[in-house]
Amino acid sequence: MKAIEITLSSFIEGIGLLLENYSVLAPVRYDGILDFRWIDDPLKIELGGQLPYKSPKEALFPRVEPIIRFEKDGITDACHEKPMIVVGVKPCDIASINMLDIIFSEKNNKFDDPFYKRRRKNLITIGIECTQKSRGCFCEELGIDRSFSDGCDAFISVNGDKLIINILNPEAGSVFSGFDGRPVESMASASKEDDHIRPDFAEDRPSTPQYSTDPDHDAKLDISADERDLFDSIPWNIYSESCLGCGTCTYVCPTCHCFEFRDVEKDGVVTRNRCWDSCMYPKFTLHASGHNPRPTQKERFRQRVLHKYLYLKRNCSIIACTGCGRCIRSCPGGVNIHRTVKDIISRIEAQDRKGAVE
Amino acid sequence: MKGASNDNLSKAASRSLKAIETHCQAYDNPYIPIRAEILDVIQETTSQTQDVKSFILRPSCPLPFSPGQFVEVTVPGTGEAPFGFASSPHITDTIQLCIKRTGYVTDCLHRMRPGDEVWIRGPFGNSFPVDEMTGYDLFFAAGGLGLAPLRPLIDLIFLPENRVKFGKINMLLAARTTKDFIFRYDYGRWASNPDTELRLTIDNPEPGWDGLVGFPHMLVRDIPFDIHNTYAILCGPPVMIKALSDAFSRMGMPKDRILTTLEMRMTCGVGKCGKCNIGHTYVCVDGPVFSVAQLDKMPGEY
Repeated sequence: MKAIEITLSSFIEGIGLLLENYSVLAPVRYDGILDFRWIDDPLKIELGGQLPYKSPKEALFPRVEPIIRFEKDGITDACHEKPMIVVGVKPCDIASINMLDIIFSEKNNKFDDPFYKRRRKNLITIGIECTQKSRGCFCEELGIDRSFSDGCDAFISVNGDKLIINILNPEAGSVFSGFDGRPVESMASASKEDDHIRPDFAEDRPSTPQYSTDPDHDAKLDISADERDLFDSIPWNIYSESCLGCGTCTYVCPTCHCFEFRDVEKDGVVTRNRCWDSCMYPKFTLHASGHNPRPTQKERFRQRVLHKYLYLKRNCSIIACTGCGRCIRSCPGGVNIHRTVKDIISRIEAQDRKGAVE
Repeated sequence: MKGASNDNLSKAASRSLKAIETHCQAYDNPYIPIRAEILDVIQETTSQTQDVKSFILRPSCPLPFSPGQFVEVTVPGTGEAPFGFASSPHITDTIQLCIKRTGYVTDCLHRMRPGDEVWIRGPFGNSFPVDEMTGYDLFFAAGGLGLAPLRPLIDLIFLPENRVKFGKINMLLAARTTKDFIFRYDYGRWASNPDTELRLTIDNPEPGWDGLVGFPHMLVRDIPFDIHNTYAILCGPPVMIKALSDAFSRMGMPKDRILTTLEMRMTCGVGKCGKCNIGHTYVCVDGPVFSVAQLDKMPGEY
């Protein structure tokens, strides 16, 4: 594996050079909050801190994405074509990008999503190891390794005051050609030193490898039950009681991918935008007739949990939760998906035990 | 009956996949619609609100589909909504959609006239298992606008070369009042087929009405048909579908021979937008046609 050792300042300088040809999404502090933003000043990049407030999914699945334009002589494609780089993606967010790749591919319901695919082709992902847990995060319970992920084009390991860029995708490696670093050996030696430098961190490092799409991967948070049974046997209203239906959880979530089309007219040209939607909103499933298959917050909350933990597992073998804890930290009502899923699992186990006794 | 050629039917059944392929080949993108001109608008219901109209559209390229599939219709600037095909699948240069005025898009459509233009993409979804149904009696039960998605199947089956492949055909068509029936111009043609009985029912008695009165699920018990050799095909409002499928299964019909088609809010049509799922089943790709046996295995979230 090719790797480059580089100082933080040289790395930032290198990113600055890339801004000429790429849009760069990176963690920067904005109004005091660390968040992924499209940057114009590389000096503002903050690497290795806490997890940014929102996820980097915006590079691939923006909040509002113009997709097509209806013009007099026909339809034109409004899709974004500029090459992009996302820098400083922690292993949990790398896992989420790998999940979105599956969700928007034909592996999920037979159809490829051409708009997602095009953005994905234009995106280079630069990951970084996670050296600081955030409040409420639980990625280790979903089989994610905080110290390394190979689901990105390049992965940065922190070695003292130096960064080691491990180039995982040789094609994307060329972006680093102008970086002022020196080639080093594989990251195996680097990671040993790494353990030495931060023993406290090495201790709670999970033994499981990085995220795998194998349905048998040893995630501890795994709901295995029939969806019909779960609909009735679990007291969903207990979990959803404090839910305000604000939808923030779905906006900060790195894997939430539901959308709506919205047409906007300007100067006789109608642009169709694909916008984030949220299963937590009453109108999400409301029929024009007035009928709503998910009439209360209980059903809507159930949809969010089971879509992530059960439906996508059945349809394309992924648990679409990375344990990043963003929804927990930003929920104004204190709804906690980690506690909820653990409670569901313990209820299923209790029922199974009861069934076995009978 | 069994020896007759199955060619036409299997062609129609396999059309669904082919049609999507053609669409994707032409545009390489299931989200990009094609232009369609409104050729004709038919006022279907004559009750006070007059809120159901049929639209005959000519797509800019032929749009082959199978009975049960649906299409997404765009009124640029207003939005997009899904509608089941309501025309014969053997006619491919024009399509008919039967639409009730009930939301933003449908309100706009209802104000449109022949010569106006909309955009359509599709077809999406699965279709009725026509091959499986061959050799059986059929019982069509539809309420109100629920007849629209069944019309392609009815028209396909009443083609003379196909009619011989099915046994007796019962049709029970329900509407709120006599003025709320749709496709009235078809009833004579349908009823004139051999071994076919067409019954109409309304919710409350009206002067001069010689048809049935009452909800379909109350009436099916009094209609003689062979429960062991019949495919029932139902469509209507969700309450009617539930009541009717209960009635049919309580009479002893096998649940895999009770078919229905569901509607859901659907943005994408290709299983991505996350709105139409019932459990892990997506109505836009796994449906909209389901048997009651399939629905029984799904959570009741529809």
